[in-house]
Amino acid sequence: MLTNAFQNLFRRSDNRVYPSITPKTREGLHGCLEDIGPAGIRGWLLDGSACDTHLKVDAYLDGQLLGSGYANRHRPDISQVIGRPADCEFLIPWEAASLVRELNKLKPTQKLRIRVLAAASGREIAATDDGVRTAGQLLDYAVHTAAAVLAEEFDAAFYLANNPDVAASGTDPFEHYCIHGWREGRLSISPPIAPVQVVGEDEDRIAMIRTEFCESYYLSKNPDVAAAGIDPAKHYYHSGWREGRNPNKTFDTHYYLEANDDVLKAGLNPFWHYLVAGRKEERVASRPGGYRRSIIDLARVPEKRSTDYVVPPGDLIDNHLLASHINAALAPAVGLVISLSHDCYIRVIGGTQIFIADEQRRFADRQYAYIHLSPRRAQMTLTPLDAACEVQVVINGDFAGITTLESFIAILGERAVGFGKPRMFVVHSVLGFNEEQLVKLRTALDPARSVFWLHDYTSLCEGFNLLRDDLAFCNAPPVNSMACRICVYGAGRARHLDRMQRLFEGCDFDVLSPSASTLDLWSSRTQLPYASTAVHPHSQLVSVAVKEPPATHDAEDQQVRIGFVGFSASSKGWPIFSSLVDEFHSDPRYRFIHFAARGVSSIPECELVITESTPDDRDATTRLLHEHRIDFLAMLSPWPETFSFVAHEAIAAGCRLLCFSDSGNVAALVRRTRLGAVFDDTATLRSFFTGDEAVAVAREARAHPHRFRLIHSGTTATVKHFFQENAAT
Amino acid sequence: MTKVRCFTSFTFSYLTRATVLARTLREAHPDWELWAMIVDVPPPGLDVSESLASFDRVLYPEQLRFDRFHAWLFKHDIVEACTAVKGQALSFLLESDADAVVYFDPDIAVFHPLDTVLETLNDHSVILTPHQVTPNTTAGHVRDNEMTSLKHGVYNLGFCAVKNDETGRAFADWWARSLQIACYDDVENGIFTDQKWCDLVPAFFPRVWIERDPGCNVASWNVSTRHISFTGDGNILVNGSPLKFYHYTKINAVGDLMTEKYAGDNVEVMEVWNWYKRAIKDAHVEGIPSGYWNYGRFDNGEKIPKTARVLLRSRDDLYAAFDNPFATDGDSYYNWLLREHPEVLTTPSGGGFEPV
Repeated sequence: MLTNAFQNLFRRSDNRVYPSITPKTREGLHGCLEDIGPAGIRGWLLDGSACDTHLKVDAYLDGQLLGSGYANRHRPDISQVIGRPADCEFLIPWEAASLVRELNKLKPTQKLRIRVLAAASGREIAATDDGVRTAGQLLDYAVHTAAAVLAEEFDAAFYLANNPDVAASGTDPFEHYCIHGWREGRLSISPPIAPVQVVGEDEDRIAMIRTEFCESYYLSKNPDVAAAGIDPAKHYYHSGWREGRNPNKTFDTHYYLEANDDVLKAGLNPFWHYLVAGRKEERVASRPGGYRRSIIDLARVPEKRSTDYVVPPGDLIDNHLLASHINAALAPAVGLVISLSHDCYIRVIGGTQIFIADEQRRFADRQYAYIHLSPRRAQMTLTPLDAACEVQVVINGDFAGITTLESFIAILGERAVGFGKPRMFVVHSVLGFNEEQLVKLRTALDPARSVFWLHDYTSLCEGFNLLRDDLAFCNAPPVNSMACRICVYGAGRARHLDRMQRLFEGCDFDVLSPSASTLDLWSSRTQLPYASTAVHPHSQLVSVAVKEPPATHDAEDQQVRIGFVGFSASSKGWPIFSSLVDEFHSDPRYRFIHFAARGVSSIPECELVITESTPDDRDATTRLLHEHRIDFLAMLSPWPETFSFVAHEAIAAGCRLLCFSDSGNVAALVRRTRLGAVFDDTATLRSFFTGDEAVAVAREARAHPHRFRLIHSGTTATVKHFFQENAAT
Repeated sequence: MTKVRCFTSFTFSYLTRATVLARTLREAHPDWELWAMIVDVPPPGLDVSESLASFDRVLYPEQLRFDRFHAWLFKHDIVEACTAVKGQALSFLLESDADAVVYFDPDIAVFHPLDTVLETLNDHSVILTPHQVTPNTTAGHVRDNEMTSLKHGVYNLGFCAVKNDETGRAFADWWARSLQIACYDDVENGIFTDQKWCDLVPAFFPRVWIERDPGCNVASWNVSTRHISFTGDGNILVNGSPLKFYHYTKINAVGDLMTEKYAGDNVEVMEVWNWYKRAIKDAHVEGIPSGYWNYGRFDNGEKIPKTARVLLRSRDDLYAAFDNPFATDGDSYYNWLLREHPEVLTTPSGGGFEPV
């Protein structure tokens, strides 16, 4: 049986807002949810004591936030009843993309209930009907009206100004809002700036709020307030908190009201309450758990992770045309490689993609034809056995077209038999394919060698970087372990491993690992059958002589420079780096620099250096790290990376690495070269900066600089014994 | 313990939770006999045998020895009713060759075999788990946890294990009699359902074992002093001891807030919490209307206000007069209310527990 101090929360009396207005109405909340239809969710909400306050409303679909809006449209009928102008109607348009995605998974007949709450108080607004609609009805509304209605009202300039991460990413703001923004509570249009009237009691409370209110934070997060030129603390006190804005970076207005029902019901300013009472009562200012909590809440089962992926448009290539392309490639070739990975390497920039481009060029040097296949629809899982698999075909670095894997196998089969020259089957990634078709493809090719690369740990789990709930390295425990039970990747892992078993049984793979640490981990955890294993690093570091650096004296040059390269992703350790920046950016000893491609989100406390490595400029990262004289590169991945180009590039640039003991290839590199530090946890990493150690190590490193040259060599085309055998046959 | 019977008590609105309990129990103890004690009547059209397939046996309260069952049941809201039958169900299940009977609340999931816990029954007759086994240190934590236990009961009766010996059966019979008298959410009068009664158990009965294993009955009320971690081989530990069973009280409601508040930075607790949300979603059974409880309504379909139940339990004359207070025709309690206390029927349903 349950016991809980908060049991009284279940004992709410009917606390709904009703449309009970009269000519004498001068106080209280009044409102009504009038219509749930094709245009959206429409109704009105009025504060009787402040008719000119445009209240925020939140709509929920079976408990999930559906969208928000403001009661700011004029209602002549209500104005007439209360005898004063009332701009109190709200319309929450359907958020098409997200809603469609959710509803598509439901039976059309499934009933869902829509409720609309006054955002500030959490009180439900009484409705003219029960708010129940079928998934089919809602889908119909969303598909036919949502995009148009929303697009008409969407304020792109406001959205980009208030969401610098979206602006930096270069994504379409409307698309971002439809897919992500609304879920994250971002506003699609500028909320009205409420007029401020200060009375005596308010002045005392505002004075209290000012004691811990951060004006610069508030204005940077709320450019509309800055533009209006009003006192930010007063704005927060009167209306900002009702709109879910935060007074500083440590107090979460929305959370505090969610967690403290009494404050919500009393309609108190939550920050004022926290300062005068809540803190003493051990109430919490923001959701506990920080970024780690966000990671696990955002973790999704793998099949749900790729539902947003864009499918490249275009018709399928004619089979005869594709056959003629393949014939043309095979005619002069002395060998043939069929290679697979999860995306089209000539159209996506990334480490694996550059690596495959390199591999293709090296095979071209050997006069091998190189045909690469990637699924048209990128997936984070193997595809269902009964699903047709369409693939993008790239022949010798040129995009040939899209076809079905079945057609490709038929075309290849006819040619492979008579080709009579060495053939290789190289799997860089299986995501987006299904194992049965891959075995058929390999059978049609009948290669001398089949290679499976351990670029990640997909062959151990669909969670390819072995992060339990995307949070922490799991060590690939037994599939029936409790860690797997609770993990988002656990439910499908046994089925996934059965499918990998069928793939490996059908392919007799030579398994290539880019690092010894990865092969050690993989070998100790896998039960898959294979022909052989070998370590074949992607790159190697060769020591080169360096000249002594010039002595530096100015303050800026004395600063220890800490860099981060790449996406601001949790799997790369960005939240930890970000928290370091947050804690130490005002410490004059340190300077933080983020090296990333255009469009990658960052944080203002960190200097951003645009860095884009491409097949034609592979040294860009090394060059920029060296130019900016980075002392430490934060490589804070929480999982054992199979091979980190960035770590090698950083060493080549003269940096020291900071990493965790679970970071696999990176930690191994640091231990081998003694160029950096390996930490057991974030506490020891923090203490490195809190004390004098970081400064001391950086000074020592500057006094004894190192420099390496990075040699890229490790593709399938450089595994010598593969070709010796082929030559023999 | 070679032969163990295990039961849980629930209504059809909690079927998904009970199903997760049964599945996780089956994984940990495939040899246990699982009983579903259902304080409800199946909704029309529900395939009962399929929806209860996770259980070996099903028990309805009508099969037990309740005097004037419908009149007695009417006095209870949904949680009171589900807990009020536990004593009799326990006695019933002990009338067998089982060596022990174990009870779990339906909103519990089992993570590890309980052999080490049940071994205690070699030397004891009853096992109880306290809400807290480690004192909190700050006033706010004590207010929310220890002081709540002082009001609602020291031991959490989401779990108990009873040996089929003289003492075990005596405990079951005493508990059943007590719950027949009063199993209400009436903290002001010293009663909290079936639970507060059990503060008396260590005094009334010998060989009662207070299980202090931090891996047992982890819940929002004790997570402030229990740290969850994972091992490299995939085990979940609580203060270093394997997680045996977690009690997901008020999940998707205030339990979310209490759990995250007291878990603090130990977000691994929220991993265990989030999994359960997915698990009950996956165990969803079609055909059970939202908020369904057969005994939550009069036979004309009208919802029974808590006040109507409280009035019946407080008036012996009314209780004696109506054998089936759920009826609405003729000389019924419903018509009596309409005539004598219509305000009882029109009062908005506030207070008491509602089916989910």
